[in-house]
Amino acid sequence: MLRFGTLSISVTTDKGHFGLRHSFAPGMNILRANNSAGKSTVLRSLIYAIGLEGMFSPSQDTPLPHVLTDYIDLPEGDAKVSESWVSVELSNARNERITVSRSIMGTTDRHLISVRTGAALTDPDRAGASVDYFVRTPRAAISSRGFHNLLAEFMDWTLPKAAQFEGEDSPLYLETLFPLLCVEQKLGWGRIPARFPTWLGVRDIRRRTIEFLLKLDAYAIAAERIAVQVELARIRAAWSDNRVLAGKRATSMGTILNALPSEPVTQWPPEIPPQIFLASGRDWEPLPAHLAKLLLRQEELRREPIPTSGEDDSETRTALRDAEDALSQREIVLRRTLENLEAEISEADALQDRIASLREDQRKYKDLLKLRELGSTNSVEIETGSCPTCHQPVSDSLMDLGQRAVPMSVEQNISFYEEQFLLFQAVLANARAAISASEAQIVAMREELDQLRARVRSLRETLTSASNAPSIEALSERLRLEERITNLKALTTFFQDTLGTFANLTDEWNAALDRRRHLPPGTLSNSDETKLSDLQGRFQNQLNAYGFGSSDEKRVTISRSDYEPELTDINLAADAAASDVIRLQWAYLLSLLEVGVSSSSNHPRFLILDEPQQQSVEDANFLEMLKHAASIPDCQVLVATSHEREGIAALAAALPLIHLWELGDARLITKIG
Amino acid sequence: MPELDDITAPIIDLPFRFKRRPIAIAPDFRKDWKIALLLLILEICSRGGKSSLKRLHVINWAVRTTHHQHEFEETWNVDAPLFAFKVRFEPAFSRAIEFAEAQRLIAWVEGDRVQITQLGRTYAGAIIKKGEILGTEMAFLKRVGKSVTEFDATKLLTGAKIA
Repeated sequence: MLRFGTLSISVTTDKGHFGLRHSFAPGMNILRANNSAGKSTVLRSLIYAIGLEGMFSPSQDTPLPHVLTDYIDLPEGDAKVSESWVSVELSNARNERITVSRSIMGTTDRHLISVRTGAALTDPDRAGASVDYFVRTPRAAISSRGFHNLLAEFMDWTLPKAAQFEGEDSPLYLETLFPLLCVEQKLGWGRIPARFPTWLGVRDIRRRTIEFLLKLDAYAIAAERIAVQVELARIRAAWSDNRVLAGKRATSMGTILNALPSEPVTQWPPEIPPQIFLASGRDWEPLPAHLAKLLLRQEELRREPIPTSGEDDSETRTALRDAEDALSQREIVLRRTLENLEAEISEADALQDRIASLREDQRKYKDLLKLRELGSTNSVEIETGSCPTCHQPVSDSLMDLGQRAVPMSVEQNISFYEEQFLLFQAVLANARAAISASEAQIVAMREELDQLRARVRSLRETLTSASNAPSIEALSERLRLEERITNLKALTTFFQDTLGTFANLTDEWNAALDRRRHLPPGTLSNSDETKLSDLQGRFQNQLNAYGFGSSDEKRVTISRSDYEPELTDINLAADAAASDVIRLQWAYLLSLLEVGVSSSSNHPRFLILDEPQQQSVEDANFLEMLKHAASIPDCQVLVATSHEREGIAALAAALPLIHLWELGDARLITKIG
Repeated sequence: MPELDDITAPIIDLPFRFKRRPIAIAPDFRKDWKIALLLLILEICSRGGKSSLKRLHVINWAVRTTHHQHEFEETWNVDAPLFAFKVRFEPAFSRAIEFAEAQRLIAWVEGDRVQITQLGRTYAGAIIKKGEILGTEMAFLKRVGKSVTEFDATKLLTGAKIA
């Protein structure tokens, strides 16, 4: 909540001291004066005092008239302004008070606002010391010494982040919210619901401001929706990274990782558990089975003593012949696999070429559609379906299709190409998978070949070495086995760790999906809907009371997507009468205030309307609006008007709730001393 | 359990109908495409919007695909043997020329030459102004410009090396 108390404007000139002092009361305040008495100056000074003139325009110039900045015209000649100040007392929901003062003209920096705790104007003895805060400088909105931070805190506002059109997020600036709380006379009227400062570059400014003022959950829901999307994308990326990493590690050891889902899953382990396979010849064997075999063999070897080379000469020879046979046979298999791989790669290349040319043709067809459009605007219609000379039917093809074939229409052809494109993409993905499987197989085969060669070498060495020496082949077989087992065990450990990672990712994935499930189906929560229908009801009632004539007021509803008034059958801005636009604006801003007062909201419970009787709205409607505004409890409404004196006086007499500040023919800024 | 015939018979026992499916054709074989290309060749690459058939065919073959464009530019800009770029007469292009003439977008002049008409120029001008249509083709034609003379076209066709 924010409430304006005593306002003081002081102007020092070469012809003495001028100024004004006025205390605004809680509730309805009407300032009535004739034209050019200075009503707008008073209301603008309030906004200037709290450093929010940025809501009117991006300009850094003082938005106040010459009376406060340059000269005061007096019958005896102009009085030159040398210094001027505005101060105002503010109070909040906890009944705390602060007094803010800002220089308008003079030597003090206009970017500074001095703040004193307490009511420094009416009770200066008990007010605190003055502390300076910044406004309207870069980063003033986020700095701890920024006045708007202090003001937001004073009003118990926690400003949400708002997306900017460019750059990073900013806080939802106070300048974006105040147009819904203060309508300025010259530019503020005639915009539904308000004239927002678009120059601040805040995205979705209309929605964000209403969402904040009415404390709608919509913003939080939208933010949560985006956060969930980001989280899902993160998990998906982590999943795919880990999968690629695991696949590479497996391939480098001549193994292949199978059945690891390519996308995050909700159940871990999946029904078909991921496994590592080893190529053995042309078949694949699971890693644990293979490892068990190797361990068994190791155990066998451990049990028998290492033979010497002399003992088993004939046996060694047989073993050597077998090993050599196996070696040449495996070499043939490898060569064939390599040839296969070659073919697969060239197939993938051909597919890629085909996809590229499909893309090219797709582009040409898109151009073709544009060409037709261009042709028809230039009265060149090339494809008419008939011959331009003899008017017999002619197909839309320059190719001889034979007598009966009919070409597809351009649209059919485009979707045909689209399908082809998707098909070839899928085939290409398949071909790539086949290539990587072949590559893994080749790595495995090469490893096997290396082992066979080593075996042949050591068998030969065994045959030529001294007969009582231990068999070199027997020794090196043990060593090879040892190394292979170590490597595969390391791979197993790595694989187990990786599975753990995937299990964690699955948990995170489920959590994110759960968050997504808990989001409401639409953009609004139930309490949002209650507030908005309350707003709509009050809004429609007021339209009726203010004599809205452009349409049946029941057809003017509050949009659930941008919270603005919308009409089912006419465009509001274009079709509503100018005076009805003013009625819409009154009704909307007052309803917003009412809903703000009657429900849990961030509405600061005040409204400033400068000369609301625009576009010759009938007097009766205007007085009705004032009456309605006066009836809203627990808020402060400041209205400045030049409406004729008797009408306002009669209204104020009838309604004791109205605090009338009647100026008569006098001016607001007068000589003090 | 029903016999297989019981299940399939009702489905098969229907009168057969054959429907002619339209066939897909490459965008190059659409009249709009080829005629637009023809007009652009005349407008961008020909002096006075006028050219011989032979020369039009050479440039059409060069602009057809990015691959052709690349081959042509290699031959044209680099002092390379001519066999890198082989020109073929494309029947579809000849038909496009006939259609364009029938639509008064081009006209025959001086017996064996083709010239773009006012209507053709307006249309070609609109395509060029729009800029985004036939982007790669237009860029290529602009690079080539009016540099290919009738004499060059003959040489390209007969396979003689360009001096």
